[in-house]
Amino acid sequence: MEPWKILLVDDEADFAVTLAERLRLRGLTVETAFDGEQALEKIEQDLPRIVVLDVMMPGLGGMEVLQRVREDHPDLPVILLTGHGSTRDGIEGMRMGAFDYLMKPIKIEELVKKIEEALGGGQ
Amino acid sequence: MNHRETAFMGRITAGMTHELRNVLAIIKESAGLMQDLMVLGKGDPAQYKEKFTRHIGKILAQVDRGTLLTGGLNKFAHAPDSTRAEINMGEFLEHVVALSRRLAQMKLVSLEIQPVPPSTAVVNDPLALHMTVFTAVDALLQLAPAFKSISLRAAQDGGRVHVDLTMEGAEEGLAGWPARLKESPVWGALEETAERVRADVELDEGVGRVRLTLLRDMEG
Repeated sequence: MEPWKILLVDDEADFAVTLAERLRLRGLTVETAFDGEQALEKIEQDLPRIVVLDVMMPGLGGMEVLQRVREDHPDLPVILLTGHGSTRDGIEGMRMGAFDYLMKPIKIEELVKKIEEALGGGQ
Repeated sequence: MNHRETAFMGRITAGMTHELRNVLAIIKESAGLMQDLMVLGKGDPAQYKEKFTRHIGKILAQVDRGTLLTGGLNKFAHAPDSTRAEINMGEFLEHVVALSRRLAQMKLVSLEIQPVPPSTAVVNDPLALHMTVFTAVDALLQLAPAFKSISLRAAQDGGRVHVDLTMEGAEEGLAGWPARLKESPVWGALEETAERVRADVELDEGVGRVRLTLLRDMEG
């Protein structure tokens, strides 16, 4: 079976590239995007199974990307990553339709677990 | 300290700590990847030497970034220590830019400091002056993305010091900007804080500039 394709979006390129490599070591297929515009382009080109999305990005921010995803692909789950120390952005994102959120720095096991939950179990 | 000042300090602290979390996140992922390779990687760990070297470099770079951030934050935390101090404008602009860089980046705007003559200084309230120049940057950012960068310079002019913030790389959409700026809620905050430091605020539409004129000594 084809592994799930995850789109990981974060303007901190070192973070995104390294986290993607760690997820690949766990058998997942991961694409990266480094801003909101690029993320939307990649979603339109090749729809991923799930989006892991940083909230605070230059230009088109994570909340705006989330809103566009909800409008164009209502079934595409989105997990938010927030750098704020509070739960405010995460809760606001879930109100807007995000599946869940994690606060940076993340625990990779938690991210993998949330991806599995969002996609309804094993691959 | 009044509500506007505490809100300002909160906003700066929130922005800097948010960036620090990104620094820690990168360090954690690089360390985590090295651990993964030791545990999950196949074959001789020596094959990962190049990768380890690269990620150790990333960690060291992030430690430097974090050190700069905490240094800036610590310096900022001391701004309210005195309501009257001599402020070197070159160092001051560097500090304001460090505090507001991320805010500008979010609007895809860069901040550039022009060389400041070393003797350029004012005697003023450090926290209120930080708040004034930061608010002026914030006010101009309301006009983004109609320009690419803000150039900051300070120069002495007799008993006064001008702090100029000039929008560079202007694109269409800046026409009539002073009127729009004055309608924005940030303008009221700028006028209020400028009054605290006894600064005159002038807008020059032609050159895309906000000029703050300070007395060399605010009590002089």
